[in-house]
Amino acid sequence: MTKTTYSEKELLVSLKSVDRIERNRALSFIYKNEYVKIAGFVKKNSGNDNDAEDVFQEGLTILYEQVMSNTFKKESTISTYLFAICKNQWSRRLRKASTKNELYGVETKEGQTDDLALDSMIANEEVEAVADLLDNMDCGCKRILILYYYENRRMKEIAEMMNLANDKVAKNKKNRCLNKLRKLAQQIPGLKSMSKS
Amino acid sequence: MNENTDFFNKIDDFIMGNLRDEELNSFELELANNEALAKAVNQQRILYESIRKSGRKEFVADLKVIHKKVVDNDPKLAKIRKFNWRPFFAAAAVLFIVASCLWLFIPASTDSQSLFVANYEPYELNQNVRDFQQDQNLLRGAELYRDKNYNESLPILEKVSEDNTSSSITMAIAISQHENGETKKAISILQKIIDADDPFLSDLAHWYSALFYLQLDQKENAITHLSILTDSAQNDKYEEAKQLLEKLR
Repeated sequence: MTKTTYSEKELLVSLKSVDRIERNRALSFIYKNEYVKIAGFVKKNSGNDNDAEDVFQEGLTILYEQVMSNTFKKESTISTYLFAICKNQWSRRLRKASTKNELYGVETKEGQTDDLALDSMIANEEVEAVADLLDNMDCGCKRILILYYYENRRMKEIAEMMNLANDKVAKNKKNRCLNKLRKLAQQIPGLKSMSKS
Repeated sequence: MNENTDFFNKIDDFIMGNLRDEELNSFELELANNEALAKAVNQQRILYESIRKSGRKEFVADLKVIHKKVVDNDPKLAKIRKFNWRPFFAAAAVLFIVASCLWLFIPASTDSQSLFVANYEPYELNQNVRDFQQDQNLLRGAELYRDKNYNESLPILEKVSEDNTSSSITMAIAISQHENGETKKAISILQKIIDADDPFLSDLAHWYSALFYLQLDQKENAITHLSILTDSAQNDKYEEAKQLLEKLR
C-alpha cells in the first residue's frame, strides 16, 4: 500500500531505501509538503517559478547527499533544515547575480587572470569531460559507480540493487568499471591531469 | 586481489575519508614525498568528482519527474489505475512449480543441442536506460527486439550501433543474428564485447559464445569459454558455467 504520511525517522529510512520506488515516494512526500513554502519565499524575494524549482531541487539534492553520507545531523527537522538550505541557496544566487552586475561595470586589464581561478576552471573542465565519458559508458558501469561514489552505498546493498551474486562480485565490478573509466580518460589527449606520464 | 587494486582502493579510502588516523597520517606523509602517488590521487579525485557530478545530474533528473507529477499535478496521472499483478504472480508460481517438477523427473540429456536448449535464454535489453528515451530508433529497435521480432530489430539496432558503441546494443545485435540463423556471425560479434573487456557484459558474452558453440556442436570451443567463466567465483554465470562444464566433461 502506498504510504501517505511519514515520521522523520521513516522518511530518512525511505530516502536511503534500496528500492527506488520507495525512495521516490519519500521524495514526493517531501515535495508535496515543502515545495509551496520554499517557492513562496523565493517568489517573495524577486524570484520566479523556475528559480523556485531550481532552488528547491538544489536544496533537496544537498539534503539527500547528506542523508546518504550519514552527515545529516538530526538536530532539526527535515522541513526546517531544507528551508534553511534553500534560503541560503537563494541568497547566494542573489549575491552572485549582484556581484556579476558590478563586475560588468569594471573593465579588467589584459593578463590579470587569476591563476587560482584558471586552475579551478581547468579542473572543472576535466571533471566535466570525464563525466561525459561516464554518461556514454554502459548503464551497468555507470550505475554501479554512482551507487558507490555518489550514493555511498555499501557493496552488499549494491549487490542487492543490481542483482549481483554477492558483495565481492559487486566490488570486483566496481573496480573493473573504475579502471575502465580511468583508461578511457587517459586516452583523451586534452585531459592533462589524467595523462599517464 | 592484486597490488594495483590495493593501491587504488587505498587512494579511494583516502579520498572518501575512510582512513583511520594512523593510516591517514602515514598516507599523507607518503603523499607529500611521492610525486607518482600525488598524481594518482589527483586522477582518482577527478574520477570521483566526475562520478558525483553524473550522480547529481541523475538525481536532479529524477526530481524533475517528481516535480512534474507533484507540482504540475497532471489530472491524467490521477486517473491511471494501478495494475493488478496478483493473477500474474500466481500464474508464474504455478508455471515455476510445473517447470521444476519437469526438470526433476525428466532425465538430463548431455548432447550439445539439448544442453543449448536447456540453458539458452535471449538477452534482455534493458528498457529503462535514459538513452532509449532520447533516441527514437533505439527505442523502436529495442521494442522489436523485446517482441522477439529479430528480423526487423536487427537492421535498426545495427544502424543505431554506428553512433552508439554501447555493449548492450552489441549484445542485442549478436542475439538477433543468432535468432536469424547466423550463429557464426553472432559469435564474432560477441568476441567484440569480450575484446572490449566490458565489466558487465564480457562474462555474458563468454556464456553466449559457449552456448552458440554448443549449438554448432563445437564442444571444445564451448569448453574454452566456460572455463574462462569458472576462473573466478566472482564471474557472472559462474555456477551455471560450472554445471555445464561438468556435464560436458
